[in-house]
Amino acid sequence: MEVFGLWVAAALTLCIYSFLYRDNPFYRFAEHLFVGISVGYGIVIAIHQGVIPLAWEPLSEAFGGLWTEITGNVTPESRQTLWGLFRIIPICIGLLFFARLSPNHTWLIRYPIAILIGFGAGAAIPNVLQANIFVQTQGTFEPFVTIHTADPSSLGTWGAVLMVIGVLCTISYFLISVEQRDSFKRLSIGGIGLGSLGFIFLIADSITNDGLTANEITGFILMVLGLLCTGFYFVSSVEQRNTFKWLSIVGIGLLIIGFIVIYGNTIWNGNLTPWQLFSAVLIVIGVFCTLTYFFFSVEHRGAIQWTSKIGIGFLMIGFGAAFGNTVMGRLALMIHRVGFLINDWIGSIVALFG
Amino acid sequence: MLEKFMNMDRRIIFLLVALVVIIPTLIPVRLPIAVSEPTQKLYDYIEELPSGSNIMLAFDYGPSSLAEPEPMAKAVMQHCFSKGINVIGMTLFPSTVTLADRLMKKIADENNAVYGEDYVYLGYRPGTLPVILGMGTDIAKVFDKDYQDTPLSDIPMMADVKNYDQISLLLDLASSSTTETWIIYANTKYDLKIAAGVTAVIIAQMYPYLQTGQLVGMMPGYLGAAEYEKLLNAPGDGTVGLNTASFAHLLIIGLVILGNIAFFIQRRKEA
Repeated sequence: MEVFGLWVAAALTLCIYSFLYRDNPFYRFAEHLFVGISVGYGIVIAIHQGVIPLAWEPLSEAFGGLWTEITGNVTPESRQTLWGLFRIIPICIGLLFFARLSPNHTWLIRYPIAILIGFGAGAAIPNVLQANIFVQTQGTFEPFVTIHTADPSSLGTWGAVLMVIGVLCTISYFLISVEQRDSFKRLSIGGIGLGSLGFIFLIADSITNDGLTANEITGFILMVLGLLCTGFYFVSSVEQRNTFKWLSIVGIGLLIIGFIVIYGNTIWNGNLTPWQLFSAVLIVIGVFCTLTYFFFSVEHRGAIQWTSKIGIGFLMIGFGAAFGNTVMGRLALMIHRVGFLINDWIGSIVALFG
Repeated sequence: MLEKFMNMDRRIIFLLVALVVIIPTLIPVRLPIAVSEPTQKLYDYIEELPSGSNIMLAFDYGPSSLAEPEPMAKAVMQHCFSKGINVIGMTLFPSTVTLADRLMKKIADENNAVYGEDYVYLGYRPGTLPVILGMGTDIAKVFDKDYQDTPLSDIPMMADVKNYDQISLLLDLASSSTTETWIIYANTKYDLKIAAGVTAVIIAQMYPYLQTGQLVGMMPGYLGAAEYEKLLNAPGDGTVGLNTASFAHLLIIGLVILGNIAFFIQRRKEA
């Protein structure tokens, strides 16, 4: 029987690979067989591993317990099985999916779908936010966080509070379900301002706690100037932006230089090796530039255009890596099949005659 | 000549790829393997676990992609059995139920592991999310019986295993986005340590989780299996596969370079 299975598997493998020459009936036969068997096998497994243990068995035991209850031979075990009757509720909700088959009752399918979506969204939103946004953002900046050694002072605490208020105000600007009045716009501009102020407080706190050096004072002033320039560019009108195109470039430049002046020496002497430092900075730049590419609220001109172009570069490298790995994965499948044909199938023939 | 090359029948490329796969399979060649950081991290994590710890293996791949995860499963299970670490197998894929059962039995037999004492196979339950979340509170509520229909309460190895608190690591052998699902629900909600053994197709999207520590380690495709086998000093299917793949990669890189050179020459001629 095992040899028969080997021959069937080998024949079907060859049928599938025959498509590389051209489309042919052998390939189509194998393809249809694969699809049919996959569906059939999936249904059987779903019944044996899902429907029977999760629905049929608990329900039969519950009805058995109910019968015992009616006939009066009650035992603690039979009473325990009665809990299985509650499974009727999810089973009935699940059965509503089949309402799709009756045109007059199709609307009933909305209930199980609504429950599934509600459960899915409720379970997903907090966990996805935590796993894919908060932890990922933290991971992006983590290499730089290690330099903040002292506990925050009142300045740092105020900075953090201001940043939270700033974030909330800025998010309110993107709340498009509510009519956007002037007050909302002011709120968002105020939010960016408060967030920036909070950031400055946090940096000031970090510097004062670790002791001020000439480099740090210089870097801090450069970063504040950079923030002001960038902030002014974003809050200015379109006409002003056209006049002061250079402002955003200067602002981002000052921010980067200030950051390097403050943290460069500290990181260099800290736990980060030059390669780790390069990787950490590259990740931050990559995230910033890629996000800029997807930021469509501002016209992509000047500095933003160049930043988003760098972002495209990062995206292309990412897609290239994914494509390269895909080729590697597909080759692995082929190697596995060739190994099967040569070692198992031909090997069994050789063993038979040799 | 150039035009002929640019319009080359693609079946010639198929033939070349077939040759570079078949020849190294017939005449095995051993190429040097350097262990990468993600695989080393996973190995070190398992190596430091005390004997009697529990590791959960999620066989989340289909029959069409078992080429890469199976050597990984073999290597990791071999490592676990040699250290006295218990292995709990399960799958979120209905199509993998019997494949995983067969594989676990085969590896266990090779390592003289005993069912119920050294390893257990729970099988499959429908619904990815309820299964992952449910096991966080009580594994027996999701899998009241193992794949052989034995109640979990009758299995000696499962006596002290109630939920993720008693699982030291979940290794997701995946060919799709299940690793992300495990991270999002089991790691974030229950703080379960997760590692991944993934097919090459999804390696790139796993690296951000490695950087943040949401994955304690990773085996990337054939490479990961081969690296793990090297760490165990037990070359197997992963090493053989990687050696063969290296030749095919060289051919593809060569073809990409040739194709680009020809493209630029042709464009210059047209200009």
